[in-house]
Amino acid sequence: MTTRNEPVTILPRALMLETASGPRLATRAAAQGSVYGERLLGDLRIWDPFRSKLASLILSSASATRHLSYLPADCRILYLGAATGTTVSHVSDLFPGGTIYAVEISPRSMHGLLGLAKARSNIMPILADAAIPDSYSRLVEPVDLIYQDLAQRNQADIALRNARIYLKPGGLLVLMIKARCIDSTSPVGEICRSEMGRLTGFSVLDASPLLPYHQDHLAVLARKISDENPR
Amino acid sequence: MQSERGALEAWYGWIDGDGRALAPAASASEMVERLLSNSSQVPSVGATGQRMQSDLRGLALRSGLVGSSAQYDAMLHEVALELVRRQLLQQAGAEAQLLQMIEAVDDLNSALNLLEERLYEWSLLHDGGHLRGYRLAERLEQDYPESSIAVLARAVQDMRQRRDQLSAAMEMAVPGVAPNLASIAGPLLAARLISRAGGLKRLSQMAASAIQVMGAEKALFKHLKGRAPSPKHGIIYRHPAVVGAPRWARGRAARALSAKLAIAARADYHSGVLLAGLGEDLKRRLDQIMRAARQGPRKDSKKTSGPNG
Repeated sequence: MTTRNEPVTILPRALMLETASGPRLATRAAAQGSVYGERLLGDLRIWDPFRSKLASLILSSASATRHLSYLPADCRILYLGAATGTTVSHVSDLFPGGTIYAVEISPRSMHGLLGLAKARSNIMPILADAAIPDSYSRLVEPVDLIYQDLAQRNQADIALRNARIYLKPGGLLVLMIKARCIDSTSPVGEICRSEMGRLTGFSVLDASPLLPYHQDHLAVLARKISDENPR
Repeated sequence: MQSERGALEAWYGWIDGDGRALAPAASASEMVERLLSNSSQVPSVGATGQRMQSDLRGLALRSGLVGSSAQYDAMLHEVALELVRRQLLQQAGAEAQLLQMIEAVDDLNSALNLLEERLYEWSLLHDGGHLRGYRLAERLEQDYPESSIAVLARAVQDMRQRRDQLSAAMEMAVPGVAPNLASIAGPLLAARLISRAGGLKRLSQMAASAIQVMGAEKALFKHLKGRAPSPKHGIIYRHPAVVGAPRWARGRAARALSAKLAIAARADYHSGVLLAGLGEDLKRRLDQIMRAARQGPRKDSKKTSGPNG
């Protein structure tokens, strides 16, 4: 792969490259080496939208990308459902001066995430259940962004519970709704509308289906308006 | 995490209502110890989940526990990594070992079957004496010690020995993890049940009726579609109380057995202490069933032959 044109910056540390095999998204590596087998170009790590939903969101929605670009460089992020850290590694690239609280429940996945966190000082791994936000209240500070990608049936509720405690007013929520984890038969649109309807206290800024990269998903970007007033 | 006085506990220690550090931990390892020892999630006073999290970083900076934001990150990173490492170690306990052992024995079994099949096919070119299994392997090794087929025969025999060793070790390990299940079901069946359910915790959360038909999923779903009688037993069929009962009493025996297995699994998961009287209760109930069974099938019972019975 050789770079033909000047790369186009889309986020402070993410670029679009024109390569021999077409345009590719990449992040500036915050630590050396390939994390999960992705291709490297100098200090750039290719970010595959078919593997990472955040990459596909950035490619699908200019408005979501713009909102993300306003996040401060020392952004604090609560990442729910970190898995083995494929996407987390790129988030770590995007905010080298930030702090990423990476919550994952599976010990199996945590082994991979632990290796990643060792090499990157901005990733704080947390072995806990995202559905019980109180279980990590001694570790996590208020955050600017909650990113959630969980295979759970009550995805919106988990996001709300975490946002109430940890998301600063005005903070962003990126919720990857996995429709097929909620209902395996109903139309995707219906499921996603109903999940979005649960996001009280948020104004939805953007909702993108992640096609053609991911089937039956909806990426919702929302801003926390204020603390919810129980009436 | 806030108490009534407005004090709050963070990973680096307690902060009182006025933002002063109380009894701060001296080192990262002490912080990890504290986080591990007090892992109960004390919900905040008032409505859980309604309060906004306190600014742990700001409090640490203002109370002078850390000099800079970068130092906060560096310390938190050290603590978080060590905490996760320790938690992973804790989880890799006796039950995780046992689960891996069960899976390993199963894998060895399927590998053995595959290789013995190959050995049989190969032996047809020689004079294997129409033996099967380990006898065939022994014979081939004796009769053709120099040939290539003996290499495979030796591998099969060796693998069989290892399987037996591992299986014996597994049977020894079961009572340590699940004493009640092991006493009622026997170590082998207990291990199967735990493995099939995906761990002792999951097994303890299962209904007795689910344990009863575990392993007979095909028959169960056929039944639920309305095309077949309900399965009476799954993998618990192997238990002497079920396989030893007359055909028409097997369903009842399986039900009695699975009910006690469910109790045993819960006792094992929550206390790990051997319950008194569980085995006797089961025996009494089984005797009762057998007494009734000796008088033959009940007149009103329909002649149904379930997919497993």
